[in-house]
Amino acid sequence: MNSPRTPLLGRLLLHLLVPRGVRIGLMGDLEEAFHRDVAERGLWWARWRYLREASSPSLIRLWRHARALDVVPGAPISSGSGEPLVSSLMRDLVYSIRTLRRAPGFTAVVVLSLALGIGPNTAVFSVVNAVFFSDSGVGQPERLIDIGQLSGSGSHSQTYYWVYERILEGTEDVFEDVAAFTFAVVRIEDDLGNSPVLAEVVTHNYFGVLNVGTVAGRAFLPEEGLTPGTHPVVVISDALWSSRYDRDPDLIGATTRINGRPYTVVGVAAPGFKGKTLPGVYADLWLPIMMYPHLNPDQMSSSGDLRIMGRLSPTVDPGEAIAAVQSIAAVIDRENADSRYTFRLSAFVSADSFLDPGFDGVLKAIAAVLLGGVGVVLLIACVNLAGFFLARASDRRREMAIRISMGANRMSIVRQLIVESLVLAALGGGVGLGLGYIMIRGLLNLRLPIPIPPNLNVSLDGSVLAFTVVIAMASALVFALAPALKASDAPVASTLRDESGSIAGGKGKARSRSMLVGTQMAFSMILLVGAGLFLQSLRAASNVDLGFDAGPAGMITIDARASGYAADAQPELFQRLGRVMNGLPGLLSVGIASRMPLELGVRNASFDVPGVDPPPNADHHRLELAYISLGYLETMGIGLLRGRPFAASDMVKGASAVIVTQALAERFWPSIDPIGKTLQSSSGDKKSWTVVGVSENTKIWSLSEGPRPYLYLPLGAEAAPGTVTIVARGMDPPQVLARNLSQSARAVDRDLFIVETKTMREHMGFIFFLPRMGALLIGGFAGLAVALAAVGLFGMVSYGVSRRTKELGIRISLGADRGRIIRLVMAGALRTVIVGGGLGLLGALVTSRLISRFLIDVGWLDVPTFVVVPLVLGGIAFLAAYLPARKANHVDPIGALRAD
Amino acid sequence: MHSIRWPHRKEMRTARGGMRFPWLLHYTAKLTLVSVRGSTGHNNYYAVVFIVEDKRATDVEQQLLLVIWRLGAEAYGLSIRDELEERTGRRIAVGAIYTTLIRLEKRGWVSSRLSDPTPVRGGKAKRFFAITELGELVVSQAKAVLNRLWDGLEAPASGGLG
Repeated sequence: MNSPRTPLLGRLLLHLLVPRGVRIGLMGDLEEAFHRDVAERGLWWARWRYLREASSPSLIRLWRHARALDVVPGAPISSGSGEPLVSSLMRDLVYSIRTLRRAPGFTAVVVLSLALGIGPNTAVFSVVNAVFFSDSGVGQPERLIDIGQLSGSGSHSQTYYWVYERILEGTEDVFEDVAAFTFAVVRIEDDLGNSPVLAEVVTHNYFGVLNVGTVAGRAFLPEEGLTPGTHPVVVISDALWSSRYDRDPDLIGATTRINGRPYTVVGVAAPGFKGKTLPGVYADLWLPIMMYPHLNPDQMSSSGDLRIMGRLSPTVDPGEAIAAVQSIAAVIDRENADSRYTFRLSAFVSADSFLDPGFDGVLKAIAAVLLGGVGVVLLIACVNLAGFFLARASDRRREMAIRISMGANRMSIVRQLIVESLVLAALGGGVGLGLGYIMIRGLLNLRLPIPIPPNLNVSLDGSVLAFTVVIAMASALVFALAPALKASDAPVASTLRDESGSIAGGKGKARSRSMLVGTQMAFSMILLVGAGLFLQSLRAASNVDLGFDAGPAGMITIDARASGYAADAQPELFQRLGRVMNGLPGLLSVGIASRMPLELGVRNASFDVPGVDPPPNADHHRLELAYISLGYLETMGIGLLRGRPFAASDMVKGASAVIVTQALAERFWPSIDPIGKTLQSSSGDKKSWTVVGVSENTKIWSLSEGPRPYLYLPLGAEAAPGTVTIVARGMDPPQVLARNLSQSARAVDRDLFIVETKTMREHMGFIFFLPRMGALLIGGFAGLAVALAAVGLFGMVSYGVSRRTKELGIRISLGADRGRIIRLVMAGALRTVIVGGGLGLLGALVTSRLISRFLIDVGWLDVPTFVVVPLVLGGIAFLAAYLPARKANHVDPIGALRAD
Repeated sequence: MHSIRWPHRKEMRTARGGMRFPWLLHYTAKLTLVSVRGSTGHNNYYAVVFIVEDKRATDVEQQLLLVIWRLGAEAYGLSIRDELEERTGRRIAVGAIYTTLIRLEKRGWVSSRLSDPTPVRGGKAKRFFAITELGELVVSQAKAVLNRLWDGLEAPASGGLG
């Protein structure tokens, strides 16, 4: 009969913890109870009970009494077993520490190796942990449905307020309530200063739908979500309350200024609630969506940037709700039957996804690359560990043999070895944790190229600690214990008689060692190729033809709307700014644009082009555009291919001149002269624009994109953009230029909200951030890996030399010349390197395909990388083998033969 | 010469199998041989010490004694636990039961023997416990004390155990 067995772990514990005199009776009782539980309550319950019994603290107390227990004749207690486990563990610990202290070099190398492997893992894990496993503080996310519009490319994207209203009224039977929100960076100012924070702009029922309470004050009231602009109230986050207001209870009801307007603080959200903007990113405050026009007037209706969430009614199943949302999308689509655009909505259960199903893949891929990189480093470090211990094991065979011959049993030796590797794990883990902490600090101090600090909550919390402890223990146990166990296996008599340094000895050990080093070489090769690809990508990125001059320039970004300028007052402000800036000494040229190339976010608008059909699945041409001032193209170094630049007469209200990029001209008028052609706005006043010039293409979104249609409209001719960037070139260094710009902007209006003051180089930092981080991180990991592998190879060769001293002595005394000896010693090592490196190269081919999505302008089979990296690694490996091999030359033949 | 002094606790080793005097009811008295290691490590001095400890059964001990008494020949770890759980509603880990039983055995209040191995327990023998005369005397004494204390008092109807 195949009856279930008691859990191994439990039996092991009982064997360790229960004194032999009572063990049989007690274990028998527990086994009987186990079988009864299996029959009555099921296998898992029985296992659980068994483990609980086996780990009961009362077992420790058994020791105190066990000795005195009389046993009936026939079941003897052997005298040696009465010793409490705890005290023998203590003795093992002392012994291990003493052993390790006797070999400080060995201990240091092992601990360092382990720490170098563990540190990056801790750092990367804590970041991944913060992004993926951080609890957003939302109650019951499995009953929350995220709803978005399905874009033409099939990705889940934000949507419009009217869609929200339709969903709100059309899903009453499946959702308890539906909320919507978007986010904005706002300026908060009070006596404590002026700082940009991340705000979520939310419908009044947001907190209710997310099932989030307040720790002080209240959430929003329904009337605060009814009429635009009438209820300036704000709920702040618990973190902001602590950090900025010192948890002052009087803050509730007090007034603070947000984007230049007074808001009343009505509540503080529950601690731990981070908002829904991005996983791992904290929102600092929440504003009613009806205040959005004040924050961002032209966005409420025209630009769809809302995210919608519905809280399921108690009895409704997520599938039903998703179906209800889809049917609303179908209705909307039918209403717009004349449109060529298919309106679709996507909905998914919030708990099933980190951000949205489309973006999850990218996040996961980044996490996988990072974790994979550090995992390989750890593996290499562990392989090193195994190599060190293998070498040490043969030195310790004598020690083990002596201990066994003195009467130690194998179990006690194994126990001591376990304790020893745990001591190493603790040391390595401790140092690694410190290292990881330093790395996290470094990562957090990197200035991210976004206007607000991301508030990513990365810290060494319990799960990170647990992770570190587990990988430290696992690597030490697996990679240090296995070789040590082999050593304790040695046949006593022959070990005591035989000596190390014999010619025949350790053949198998040498093979397993060279396999380890070969593995290291393979992994180093993979990482090094990855680093090479990222470096190539970085190089390619900096060589990309941007279409504009990325040379030194200073720039400031101002938010005219947040500074209190109404839409019709803004053109005048921009003109005044332009005039003042142009008069600044040391400036060669100044330009103003609503958006700089390669900036996050783009403004777009719909146009009809006479004679050109809109793309399939759309009613109009959607064109990306920027409003620019007179000197902008010139300042940015964007060349004009045909036609004329803007003139002062184009900048007045009602003017209709536009400049298009070459890509746009080629798309709409492939073979005819675009100058004089018209574009018609498809919304609002249906205004016609006349093309007066064609400019060079520039990169708009990213470095890897192809030529992209783009439209330049004159600043001041139409609706004001609100936020503009002023860019200037001159003789002075860019920092000085930027400072001058912000000073003169303040001279125009003391209260002007200057969002950002930066240089062109800082601006470009954003787009280079990913390739740079990739090159930096993977390059760092690869450097570590190669260093560890080189140490491993060095150790292998020098150990080989020391083991073969006798053989080498004989060879030298028989007249082998020195070059031959070195070749002999190195041959094995180099074979290992070549085999390992070759396998690594194959692995690298696979990996490079996986990471190719993160590369710019570099194919997965990048020939220079695949040529240079093996050469570099080969050179390092050669050095690491050659240096110890030289020692073979200094073997003294007489001494080597005599020594034994 | 070594000066004579009282040995430090660490220097005292209790010899195995000291004599017990079970006829003293509330006290366990133990005659033990103590070896005192001299500072040179060569001279061992032996001393005979008569250790007297006050031992009265605690609640748990009384309960276990009564359960064993009741179970008679069928008292072993698991049955004791089940019976205890059934009668008092409290569940104790088997390990804790053994801890107490070993203490009781040391005091001579219960005795134990190993049975033949049984297949249902993975071939492991049962350790049966039986209450000794001394044990019966101890619980009876405890009951008598309680009875005297209860004399003239009336317990509420629920009996406290519900």
